[in-house]
Amino acid sequence: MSSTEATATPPETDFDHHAPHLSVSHDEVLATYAGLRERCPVVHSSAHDGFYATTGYQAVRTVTGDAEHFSTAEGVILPTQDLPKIVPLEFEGPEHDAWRTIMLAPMTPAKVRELQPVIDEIVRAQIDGFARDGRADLTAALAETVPALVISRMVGLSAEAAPRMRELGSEMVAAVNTDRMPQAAKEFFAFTAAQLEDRRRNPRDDYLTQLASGALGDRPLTDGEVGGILMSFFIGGHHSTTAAISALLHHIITENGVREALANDPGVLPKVIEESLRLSTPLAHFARTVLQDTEIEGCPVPAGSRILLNYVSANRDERRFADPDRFDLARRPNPHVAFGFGGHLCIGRHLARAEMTAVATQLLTRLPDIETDGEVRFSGLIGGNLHRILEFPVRFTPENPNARQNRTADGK
Amino acid sequence: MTKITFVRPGGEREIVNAEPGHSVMATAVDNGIDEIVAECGGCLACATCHVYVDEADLDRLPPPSAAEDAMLEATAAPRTPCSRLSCQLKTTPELGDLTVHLPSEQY
Repeated sequence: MSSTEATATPPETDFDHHAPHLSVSHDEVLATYAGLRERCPVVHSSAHDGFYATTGYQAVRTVTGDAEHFSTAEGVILPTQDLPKIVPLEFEGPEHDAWRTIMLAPMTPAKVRELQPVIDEIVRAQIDGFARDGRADLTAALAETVPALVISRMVGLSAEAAPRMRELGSEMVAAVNTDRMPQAAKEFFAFTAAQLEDRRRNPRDDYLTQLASGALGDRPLTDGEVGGILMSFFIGGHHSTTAAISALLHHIITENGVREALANDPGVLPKVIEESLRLSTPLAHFARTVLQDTEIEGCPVPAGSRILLNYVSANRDERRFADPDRFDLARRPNPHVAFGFGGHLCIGRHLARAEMTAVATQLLTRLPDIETDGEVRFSGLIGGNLHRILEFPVRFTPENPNARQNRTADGK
Repeated sequence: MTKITFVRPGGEREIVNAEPGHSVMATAVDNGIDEIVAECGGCLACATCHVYVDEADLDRLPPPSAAEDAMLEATAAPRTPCSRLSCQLKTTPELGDLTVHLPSEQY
């Protein structure tokens, strides 16, 4: 990295990820990031009492891969929010590792494979809801419902109880930073406490039962801590996965040649998914705090300062990805940082990929001529972090209910 | 120089020179061995640099740490007694040449 940049003070900007003009236009966000990338791998902003912002790819790798100099423990949201710490993300060291071990347990590749029939069933039921209508909004009818139902079933809720948890979890995520939050959190925690109590009385082979008797190091988990784990699953995995699913379907439906490539060889899907994650990275920004004076790409950053990472801009960095704005099925390798990098790499990424795979596979099999039907509406930066498709109207030849009965169980 | 032999799932062998002190993972990434994904960059937060060390070489390696052992539970391809995370295998002249078999999937 020293070969590209001499030591230089990061340029001063007024970049603010919460600026109103960035919240309305996705294109404006991308143009703003591109402008920042041209200036320096790291810039300084006067907003929010001053912070540094990464603009390029290598800066994200440098910061997220170096826990000695950069910490999440002071909070990953900028400006700092008055919220309980997000587990495991806002912990470092052994405490982080203990939380991560507990939370990764239901989302390892092996566990996700075990869960696959349930994911397939959830996706099938959601597509059943609109397949005979000829029209749908893919965000509202599919992308928004699947992730929360999958989280609910993953922790051990029945198919009957899962929609209630989806409702409570979705409301809580929607209530962040509003005056509805205390009530939403209270209802969510009451629901999870009741589930834990039930597991203590009637233990079964599920994750909630593990949590009900689980330990953090040498002491038992409290109901509040378990509620925090489940809350983190929703905060980390609900809107982000919804955004990732919508974006994937949009790329498949609208990019030249992608649908044809998938029809010729379904084995191309993993590449389509990774390229979609790179170009349509759901979460743009998480913050770190500098622990000791250091440099990022030759730019000095003093101890105590806050760093805003920019994963969206990193994934479009022309110094790392050739022709970065192009959807390129042949991109290999594709080391995007949509799930982050380093010790805080997203623990839900295997689950997210499994959901994306199931949705794309089933939708294209059942509604092969699906196309957009009117304007697809993209968000700007929601809450200074999230990019998603707000409205995704599509039309298709309605599914013949008789043909449905001939489908095999996995929707293929 | 230490040589690492990567055996692809189809049996194809790729022999590369390793910089002393570099991990087997870094050696793979630097040489375009795509089967090693290494999503976390080598800080034991993922298991996407999983390899099966050749049985002939297994006993020469230091055993996995508790942290590596825990993360090996999260491999995509089945864990076997030969399973290691290649980010934790440092190449040294003392260790000598090494053969590792690449799994067919990392996630």
